[in-house]
Amino acid sequence: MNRKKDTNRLNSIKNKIPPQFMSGLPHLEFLGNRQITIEGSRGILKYSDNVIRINAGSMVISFSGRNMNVKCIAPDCTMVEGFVTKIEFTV
Amino acid sequence: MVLRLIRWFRGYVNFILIGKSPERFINLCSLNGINLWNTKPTSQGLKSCISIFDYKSIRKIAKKSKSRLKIKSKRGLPFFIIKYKGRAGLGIGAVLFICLMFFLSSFVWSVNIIGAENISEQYILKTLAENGLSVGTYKGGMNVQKIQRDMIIAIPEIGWMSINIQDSSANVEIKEKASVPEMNDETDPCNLVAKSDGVITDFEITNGKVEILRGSAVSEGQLLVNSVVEDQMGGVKFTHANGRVYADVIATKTFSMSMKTKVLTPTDNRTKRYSLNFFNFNIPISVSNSGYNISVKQNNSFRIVSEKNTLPFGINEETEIEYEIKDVDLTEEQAKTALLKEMALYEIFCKNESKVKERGFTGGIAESRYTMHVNYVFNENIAQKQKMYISN
Repeated sequence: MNRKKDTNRLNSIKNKIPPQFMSGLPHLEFLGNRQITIEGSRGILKYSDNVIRINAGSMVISFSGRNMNVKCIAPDCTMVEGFVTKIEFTV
Repeated sequence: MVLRLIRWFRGYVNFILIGKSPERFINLCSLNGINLWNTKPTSQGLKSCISIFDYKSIRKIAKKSKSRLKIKSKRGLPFFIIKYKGRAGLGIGAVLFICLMFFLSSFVWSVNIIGAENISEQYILKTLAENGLSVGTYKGGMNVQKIQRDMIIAIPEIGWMSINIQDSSANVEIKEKASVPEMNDETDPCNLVAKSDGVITDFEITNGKVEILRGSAVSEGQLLVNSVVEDQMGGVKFTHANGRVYADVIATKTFSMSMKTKVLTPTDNRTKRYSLNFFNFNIPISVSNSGYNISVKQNNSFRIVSEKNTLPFGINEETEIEYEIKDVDLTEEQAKTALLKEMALYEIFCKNESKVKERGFTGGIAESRYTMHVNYVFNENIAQKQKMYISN
């Protein structure tokens, strides 16, 4: 009885969230070419002054540019800062 | 800014990570919920900042990622406290300073009166103090609205007032009431009559029929301007006679004074007392009893002034001067000079609307008194309104 109630509640929460967030793909937000927020990241694969490569589950996103650095990092979110000149998706 | 302040208060370590896989270190930190900031890659690894509480736990992570940790600098309040641990006075002083600042800023330091033109500022300050606002009043327990209401009741000349507490100053803005002009009832018929004997020199009549000529002599109570005016058709109109009639008036005034008089003169004996003033409290520094029979006290207050405000600290100086009563026998010349001064005051204050045309005086001593008789010729307005009562 309780399990049925919990399932109903989870379904109702899922219905309120937009479908693009439920697809398992990373959510990227750009502030020009200076700051990028990656939601759904799993970790950093390469970290240097010119290239930052991030594991985003189903793909690897590579940011190339100048003065690149990770401003903030959490288990499922990364914020990259710097002068980005190129973005590459490896699927 | 706030975040930086919080980090400074909690304390943080600026460290360098030397190793081949800084990425692994960052990932492990994020998985363990360790917050890193100002992370910058270097040729050997990376440099970053971490809270002092998390620094111990990253040692294991660094070992796992086959890297070495090196502290570059330690920043924040915990390190500052450790540095000045031996100097407890500094901390106590800082805490005391903050407490004292909070304590002193909760009192009114100065009361500024703005907009008082005809009402004395001292009188306003005294009334404000009676109603609960003076230097040294606690700001927290003050009911500004009530003080405003009470002040308007206490001083009827105040039309509007507002008390603004800014920091430790109370700015009292005042608007005085505009005095209501005296209403002249100029509808009732009235004549102008002479209030003293004299010779008419000039007149300015605005209403009524003139019954006098320049150079004519008039006696007290004589009709000068008639309110009954006849028009061309032979009709009669009652008016409110108005105007000024100037006449030369002869007057005599006697001034007299005793040749023996008592004079209060200061002696060389003076006693000074000092007290320290703090808000409304006076703390005596020097106490001395003078024992003078007759004395006058002079008070001087020395205050510290900062820009616009007078600070509520200072030194009060009280000087007590001894006076003694001396019996003085005046000479004839001294008595005459004193009476001439009295005469001048009489002309300035009692006959301020009259012009002195002639003045002659005679004086002499009789029964130990000096008496001066002054004969004046004043040129003044002698017109006086006299109401007319018409019965049907």
